[in-house]
Amino acid sequence: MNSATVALLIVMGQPDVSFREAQELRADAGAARLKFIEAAKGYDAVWQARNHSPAVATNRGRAHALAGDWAGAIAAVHAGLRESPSDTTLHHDLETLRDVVPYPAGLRPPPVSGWRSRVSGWDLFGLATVCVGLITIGIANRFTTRDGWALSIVTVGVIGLFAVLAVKWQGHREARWEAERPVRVLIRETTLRKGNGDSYEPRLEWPLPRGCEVRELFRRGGWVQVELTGGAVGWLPEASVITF
Amino acid sequence: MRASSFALLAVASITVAQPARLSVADLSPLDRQKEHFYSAISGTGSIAATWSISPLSAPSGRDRTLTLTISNAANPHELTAPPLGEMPEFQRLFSVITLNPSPKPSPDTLRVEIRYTVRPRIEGQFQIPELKYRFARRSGGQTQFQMTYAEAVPFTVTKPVVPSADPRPLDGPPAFFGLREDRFMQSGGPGCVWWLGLIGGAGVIGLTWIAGWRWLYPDAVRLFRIRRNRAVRMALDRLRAAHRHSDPAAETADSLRTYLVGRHGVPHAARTPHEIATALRAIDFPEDRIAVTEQLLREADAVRFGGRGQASITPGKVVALIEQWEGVRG
Repeated sequence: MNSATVALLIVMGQPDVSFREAQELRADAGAARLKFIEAAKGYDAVWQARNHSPAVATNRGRAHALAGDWAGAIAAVHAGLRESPSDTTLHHDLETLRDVVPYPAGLRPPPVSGWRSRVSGWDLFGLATVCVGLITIGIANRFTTRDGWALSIVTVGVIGLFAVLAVKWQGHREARWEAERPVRVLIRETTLRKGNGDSYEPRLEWPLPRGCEVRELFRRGGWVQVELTGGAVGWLPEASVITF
Repeated sequence: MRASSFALLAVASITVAQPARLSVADLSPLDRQKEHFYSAISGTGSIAATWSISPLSAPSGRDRTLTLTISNAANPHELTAPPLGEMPEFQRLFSVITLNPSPKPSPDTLRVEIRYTVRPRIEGQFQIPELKYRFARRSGGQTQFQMTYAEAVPFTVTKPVVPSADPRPLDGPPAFFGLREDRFMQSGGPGCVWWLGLIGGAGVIGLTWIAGWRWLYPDAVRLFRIRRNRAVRMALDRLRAAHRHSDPAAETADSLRTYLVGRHGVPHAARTPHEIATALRAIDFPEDRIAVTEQLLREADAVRFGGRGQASITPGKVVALIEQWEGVRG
């Protein structure tokens, strides 16, 4: 699908049309699922065309989920959270999707946390604008009418600006940590092994369920070393995980 | 009149050219029982029989229409339908063979279509079996029989359409069936350009504010300049608040004295008007200002210690004096 076609898809809202048609066919699971598959493919194309808005991520995840591709849905939502970490709808959808995955005890990831998930970049920018505004007003007043409150609001502005920068720095650290340990999603039930080969013993007694989220640590020879939520480390075949 | 004559002539010609109509009743009972003979008697030409089936391709289990077309029979109204249901080659191929009812053709019909409803037994590509079709020909008072064939026609039986079970509704989290519409909300946060724009914008606004203020209030600019000096600023603030003091004259004189100490380097030890005037002369303070200062301080002392009710020294007067000395006022 070339870029012009994708652009046309976006303009025409073709995936949305398929999604709506699927909604109308909801009474017939088979027909609705086919339409949701069509919508999911459309959203994938839109996402690949670098339209990374939270709405596209949300709809993409939902289309995959309703098409029966739960692992793809989780991957799509994670891809959306990577771009919009503080989006509450995506957080809610991720938790809903995790409810579907039959996680063994202790392996279900905790809800997404951290400053990035609480405060959006635009929220910080808005707060910074207010702080810079206070500083500007205070300094301008100091150089003009020199009222008594000038220094006070400059102080408040500077403190606020430092707080904004601190949160932004923390968010940057969290993003770097995420980039070093990216989330991967299992597309099928897979046994976690102690080494990068089928000859190695299973790391756990039971296989990891489809849709299970793991964090990638390392790759070697077609295998991925991953860390589970409980801290267990093992190896999975590359073909069994979605990289997004 | 002439047209009517031509019409009568044409009718007479047709009547003369038409041969005597042949009928199967003219044949002997033995002839009528010949195998593959379905009462067809040929006229001037040979009889032709052809198969057709519709649709050519259809899923297994679906009925089709099989048509046998007989052309050039002299007795179309007497033709009988071949009993396909009794023929083994058709029985092998079709599970259902039913002759469709049709109106009796008129004796003048050149083509007779005999229709059957058939249902193929199995999937695959097949051919309608060739049909032997015997017909009679009367020649010179004798009956001769000839054989024609309805040639095989291919047709296809595809896989049966499996009727789906009753459709079930698609299950899923209710919220997932909603389409998110706020697509113009962009991901991530502001980039470097936004942050630089914020800082640059704030700087521009601040500088514009200051420049505009200075342009609008040139005196205020000078006032701002003198207020940059701590001694001047403190003296002016004290003088503006002096009216609230219990002894405004003393406060005014003290503010003036503090100003002279902080701003012009008058020693702290200089307390009396004379001492202050002497100290001012030592630093080459303008003589007229020294005189005014000394007079104001003496008047203040007179009010404080001499009991004179009303002094000419007022906070406003001293403020104006300081602003004049500092160049704010002309």
